[in-house]
Amino acid sequence: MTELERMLADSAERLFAGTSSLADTERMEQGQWPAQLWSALEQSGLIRLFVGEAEGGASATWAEGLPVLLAAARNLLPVPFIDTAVCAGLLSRLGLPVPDGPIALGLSRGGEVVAAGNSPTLSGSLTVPWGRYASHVLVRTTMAHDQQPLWALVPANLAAIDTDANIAGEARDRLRFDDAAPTHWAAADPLPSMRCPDALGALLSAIRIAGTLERVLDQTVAYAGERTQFGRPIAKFQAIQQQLAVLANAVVAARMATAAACAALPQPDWAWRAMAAKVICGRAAGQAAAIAHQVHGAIGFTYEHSLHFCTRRLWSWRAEYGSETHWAQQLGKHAIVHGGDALWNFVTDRKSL
Amino acid sequence: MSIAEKIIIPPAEPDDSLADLRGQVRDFLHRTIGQLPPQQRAQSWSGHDPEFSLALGREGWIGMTWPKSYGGREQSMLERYVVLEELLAAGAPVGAHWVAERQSGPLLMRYGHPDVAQELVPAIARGELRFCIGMSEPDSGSDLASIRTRATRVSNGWQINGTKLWTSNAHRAHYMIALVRTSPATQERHAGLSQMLVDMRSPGLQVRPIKNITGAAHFNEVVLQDVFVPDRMLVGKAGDGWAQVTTELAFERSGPERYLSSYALLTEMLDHADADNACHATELGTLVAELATLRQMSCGIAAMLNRGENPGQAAANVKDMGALFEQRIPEVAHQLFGTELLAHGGPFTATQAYLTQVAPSFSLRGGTREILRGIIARGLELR
Repeated sequence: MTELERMLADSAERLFAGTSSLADTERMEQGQWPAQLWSALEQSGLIRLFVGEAEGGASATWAEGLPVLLAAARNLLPVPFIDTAVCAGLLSRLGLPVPDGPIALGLSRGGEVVAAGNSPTLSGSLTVPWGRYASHVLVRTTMAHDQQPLWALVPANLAAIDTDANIAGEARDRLRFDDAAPTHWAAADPLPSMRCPDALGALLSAIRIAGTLERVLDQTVAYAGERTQFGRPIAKFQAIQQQLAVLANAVVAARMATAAACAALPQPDWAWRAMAAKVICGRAAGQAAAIAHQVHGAIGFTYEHSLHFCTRRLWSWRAEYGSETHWAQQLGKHAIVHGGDALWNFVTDRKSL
Repeated sequence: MSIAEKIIIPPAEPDDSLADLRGQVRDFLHRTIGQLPPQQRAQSWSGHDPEFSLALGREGWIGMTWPKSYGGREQSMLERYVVLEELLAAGAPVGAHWVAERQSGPLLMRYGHPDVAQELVPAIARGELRFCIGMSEPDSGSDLASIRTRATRVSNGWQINGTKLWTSNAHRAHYMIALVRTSPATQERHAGLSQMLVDMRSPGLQVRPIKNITGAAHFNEVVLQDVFVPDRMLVGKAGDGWAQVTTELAFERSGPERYLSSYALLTEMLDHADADNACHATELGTLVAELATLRQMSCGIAAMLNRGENPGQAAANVKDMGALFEQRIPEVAHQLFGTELLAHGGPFTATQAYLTQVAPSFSLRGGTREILRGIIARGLELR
């Protein structure tokens, strides 16, 4: 862990623990935007961790910033912190200015937006997490005439919005653009290999899952230590211990798959590592949610208990930007086409550990 | 610090300097075992080929991290890791030196009588010496502290009586490192145990092969009847056996052997699968994602060990997940292809047939799944 990584992680944990509360998360699910929380996060400057130093950011690499994103998920922040931080980092790498306010990421997911013209304008629709709360949407699309990539920063108020939400009450809105003019755009990709833009969304989902899994483990281990049955804490029963061991496995694997994909982001192999991360995290999400509920018993099934804030998110995120089945199929197809002999080099291809 | 943070494995830093070594090992493997059929590659660290071990010793790839005075190369644990994972991914027959290199050599250097270590360890590094480990007994499996094999003090040494069971490669080994009781069991169950180096040619020592479910005989019953062990063959201090065994097991934490046992069948499946078949692609893609992640975890642990850090319970997590992965591969092969496992079915079938039968042992050897999860639970501070 680099010094910057440690410093960012510590200040993230302090900031999130000090500013956010489950009450905010609950109100967000009822449609109340936590404006105070958002302005506290924005004022802290941490949200610009991936932005270059010259533009007031911390200039962190994706790997160095990962613990901050995980902490945001672990603290169930009911705002698009991860989305905005990553969009700001992408804008910075594209050489575009970073606007104030929440930025949502518009990948090809669930629709299509095309760009046309010398000063390109955007038309079409797509599903955008947090769309209705965003001040800007960073859309990744292609030019209609030559299929070249285009990243466009569009004011969200240029879109017509059909609202929707996942089972955790997070806004998953449909944004429709009709000849919308971006404030800024770049005809290039900020990452190597963007043949499959949704892989970036898959990685963000994996990060959300991995961070939330850590909360699930901590919370479930703590509960098993507190809850007494047959005269002793249920944590003392081997049947419970064996289940919590499997839950721990899921947490360790999810974190590693996510970290490996983030570390790979400067290289072309990031895309398949992101797909692998979504496969691992998607599976881990289902497994962990089942174990956590089993260990918590009936109380964990009540709205009053907080476990559902985690598990409803896990069940939502594992399906967003492609399920584990979707990405496994892409990975498997690639591996089959290249054959058994190519597999080992594929896995070790960074010429190192 | 939260429990979750404690068990996280930091990813290994990329290190381009390892690429040359990796290339050399691949060239060597291509030359020596390039034509090995998959059903033999599947045997990997059960595969026994003394000539191959000698050749590996000549390359300097046994005991790479050991001091030069012991025949080692004083290389890093990450360099050793690269060699190990290349050997195992290629299914190299490493069984003739595996135990000696992984456990016995480090144990002797650390605890053995200096003269004995000086004599034996360089021979291990040359790939000449084979070791077996005498731990389990007829009534002691997971509950190792209950062993009954006893060593009693005699003039100039010890006399051992008892029976060891499931001792892999005892029939081929030159030496056994035996865990024995040197003083009677007390309340402190782990006290009174000691490790002894036993020459397999000793009078009174009898090795009886035990066929496993495939009909092959890799493990054995070893009966010790008044076997004499000279003083200098006591490893470490009498009574310290348990602590030493625990350290010894730390030498073998979460290496590539913990997830690559069924690798030969995974590559066979990729060669036989249909890329346009959604079931094939999905199941195999899942295995590829798991393979990549297990490798990253295993490398992360190797990097922690290399930095002198204690990977703690995370190593047990990797071992548990690795065994699940290895055991799932023959199951997936059955689901996807449903091939009848006939004797004349060809290499793919033979590989699947072999791994289907040996897979149950993957979560038994070196600590059962249940014991391992108990260790994980301890890391979670549940017990």
